[in-house]
Amino acid sequence: MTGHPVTRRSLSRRNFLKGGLGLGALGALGLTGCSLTGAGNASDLGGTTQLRMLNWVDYIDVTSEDGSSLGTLDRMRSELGLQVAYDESYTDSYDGFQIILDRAVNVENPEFDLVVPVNWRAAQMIESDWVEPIPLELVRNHVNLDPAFMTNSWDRGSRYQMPWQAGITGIAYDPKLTGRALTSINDLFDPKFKGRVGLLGEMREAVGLAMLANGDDPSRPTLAGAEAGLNRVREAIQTGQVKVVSDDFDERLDSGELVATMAWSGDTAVLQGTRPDIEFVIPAEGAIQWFDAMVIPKRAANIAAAGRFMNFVYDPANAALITAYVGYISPVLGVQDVLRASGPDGAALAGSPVLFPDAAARNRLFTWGGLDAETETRLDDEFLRLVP
Amino acid sequence: MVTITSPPRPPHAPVANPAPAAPVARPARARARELVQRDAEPRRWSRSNSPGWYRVWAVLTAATLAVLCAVGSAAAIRSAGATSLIQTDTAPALLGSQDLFGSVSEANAAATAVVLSGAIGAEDRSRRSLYVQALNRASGQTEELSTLVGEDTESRDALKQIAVALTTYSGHMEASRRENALRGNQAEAELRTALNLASKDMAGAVDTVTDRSQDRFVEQRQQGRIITLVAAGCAVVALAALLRLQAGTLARSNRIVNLPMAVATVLVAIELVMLGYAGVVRSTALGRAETDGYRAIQATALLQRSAFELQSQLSLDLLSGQTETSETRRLQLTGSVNSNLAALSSIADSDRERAAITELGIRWDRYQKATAPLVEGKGAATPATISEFQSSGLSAFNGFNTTIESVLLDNRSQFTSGVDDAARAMRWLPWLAVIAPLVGIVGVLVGAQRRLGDYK
Repeated sequence: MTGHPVTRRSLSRRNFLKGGLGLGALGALGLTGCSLTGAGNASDLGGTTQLRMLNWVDYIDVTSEDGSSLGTLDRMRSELGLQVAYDESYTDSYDGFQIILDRAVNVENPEFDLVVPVNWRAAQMIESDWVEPIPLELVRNHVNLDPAFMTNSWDRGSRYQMPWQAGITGIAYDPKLTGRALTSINDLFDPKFKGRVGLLGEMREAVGLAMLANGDDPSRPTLAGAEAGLNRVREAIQTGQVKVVSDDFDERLDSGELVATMAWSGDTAVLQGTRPDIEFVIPAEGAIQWFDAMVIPKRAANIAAAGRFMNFVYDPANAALITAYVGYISPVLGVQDVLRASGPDGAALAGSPVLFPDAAARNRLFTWGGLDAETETRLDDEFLRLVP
Repeated sequence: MVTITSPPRPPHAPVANPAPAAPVARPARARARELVQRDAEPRRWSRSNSPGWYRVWAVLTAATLAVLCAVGSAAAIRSAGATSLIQTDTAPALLGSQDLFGSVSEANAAATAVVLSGAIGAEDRSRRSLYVQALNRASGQTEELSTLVGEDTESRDALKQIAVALTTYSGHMEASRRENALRGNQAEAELRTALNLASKDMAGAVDTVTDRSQDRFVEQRQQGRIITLVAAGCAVVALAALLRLQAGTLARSNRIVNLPMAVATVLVAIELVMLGYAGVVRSTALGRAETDGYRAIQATALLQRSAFELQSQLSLDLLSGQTETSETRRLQLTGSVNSNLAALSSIADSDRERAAITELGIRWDRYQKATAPLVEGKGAATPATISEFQSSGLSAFNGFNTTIESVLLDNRSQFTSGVDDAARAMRWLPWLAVIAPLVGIVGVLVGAQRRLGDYK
């Protein structure tokens, strides 16, 4: 367990935001979202002051090294008296998910009160009855959840999970190395770039993008469409057209090992802090949207504390600080307004089409729609066999 | 004729008492009367002496227990059966018909928005996906409902009508979409035909299914009440008989406890208590399910229906301009949403529910604010207005609608938990109603036999 507080490499793009953003945020409250601090009744919901949380690495703003600005966890401790034992050892949706199974699901006393798997894993957990409902009476800021995240067929209205951050899996490339602008998923299969293209080792994203390239809709996948997508991925891997990459795609792109890659929007935004020449595009055919979701494992000891945490991070002022730091799409209404009001740097972020896609861009984002469990498992197995 | 003969005295038997005087000859009629009286005497003697008393009361008590067994088990089976039917069929049918309302209304709202977006350019893919999902849900719910309504002819006919209407409805929607894509002039007419089909034929049929399910719910709630009262009466009589038998035993033998009879008495007392307890719990739990759960579900479903209709109306007005009628209708629907929100708020009985309804209210305000500027102009909307509606109005509506569903789910949990409690209370009653009197009969007969054995 990493334990609190979390520190990470400092990013200049973020550091300049931290000072002014907090003040600007206060003024911007209520522009679109609103902050509700009603305490509600925490009886029968366990402890309120201790929280054990498992999250992905580098996925929350931290206290600056000189201590001039406090990260979310420190602010939470000083404002709410909530101590968070924060573990960021969650690595991926396959082997990493085993941590959740071993330490939060298949045990009588879960070691975590809050875990943050990707949306389709959260859906599996909800469908398997492994999670507690969100304590709405403690999460009054649930009202700030962007409706775009509330229509999932597996959790309409978001009663069992609350999105943490959302991202786009699109294409990142180095224009100097490609020699041209990339606008289509098919560009990743251009023989000219053979061996220097990255493909993310997440089945739903890799196969989803391939499906889009084939003209299929991954938000309503059919078996035939998914298999055609998988075949395309298989062929690209076996012929050496693409290399399977993980969350190190940004480093490989930065080093020039890759000229283009399937990429997560947030990590690319971080890379762009030091490499503004790197481009991130939502291809013409569309891109895959996903989100990581906060869920409370069944029998968690501190459900009330988890509720208080959710309420805090769904306050637009707090959410804006996290967004500015991690560079992913915030599911919290009002963040764009807070950023805009926080000064020129915040306004620049507020204008980012990757952080705040407009209606036209949103129409080109596809969330994996899911097949039956057996088929998904088979596709996962076949895909994982391709990954070295 | 009874002949009485005296046994011959042995020849050398001592004479204890002086021999009585020879009887005086009596008239034949008097002698006959005497003989009849003597003949009757042993029977009178058997009711008043102890073994006879035990036999009579044991048989009487066993008979009341047998009656209790028959009536009690019939009452328990009837009540438990009705409760089980509520749990497995009627309650899901009630919820299913409300879901069907929701799905059809959502399909309407989403499809209208799709046509609206298609009118100004590329159709809204996510809205189209919501329409397809809602239509598929409605189709699945119709199939599921037909397995839940049993042999109810009226409901079955209504469901057949819905199934046919759904096909026709989707046909019109697709025609509207195609016309839109080809920039034909029939898009709006096809859309209106589909909406009419939904609001008249389908909504009417769904109403029929809901009404019939509600009738069945009330009917099944009442089932078994009278026979349970009769069974309770039988149990009181049986208990009285058992107590009389015990009291008699105590008086005649000075034995305080006759164990088999005491066991029988306790079992019958337990059955009486359980009949009362299960009846009260069942009635309370179903009442709670109705007041806390179902009424809230109805209010939520009405709210959802009004909101969806409002959304469809708004889309149509943006497409072809407002009329006085459409404006009035929109105002009515807004009033309906507001009043149902107030009703829901007054029904809410937990912090969680109140929090969800507060959220619903905030999201409703957002939707109204987002759409207010759009309905100010009287003519058909411009592409810019429609685009604004697509991005902010529909998004706010999504938030409102999915929050309604969230509230609906909470109310469903309350409803099903009330029904489950009722079913749980009835679970063991049929067994108890059979076993307790039967064991009681055995206890009475064994207990009486033991006492008779003492006499021998």
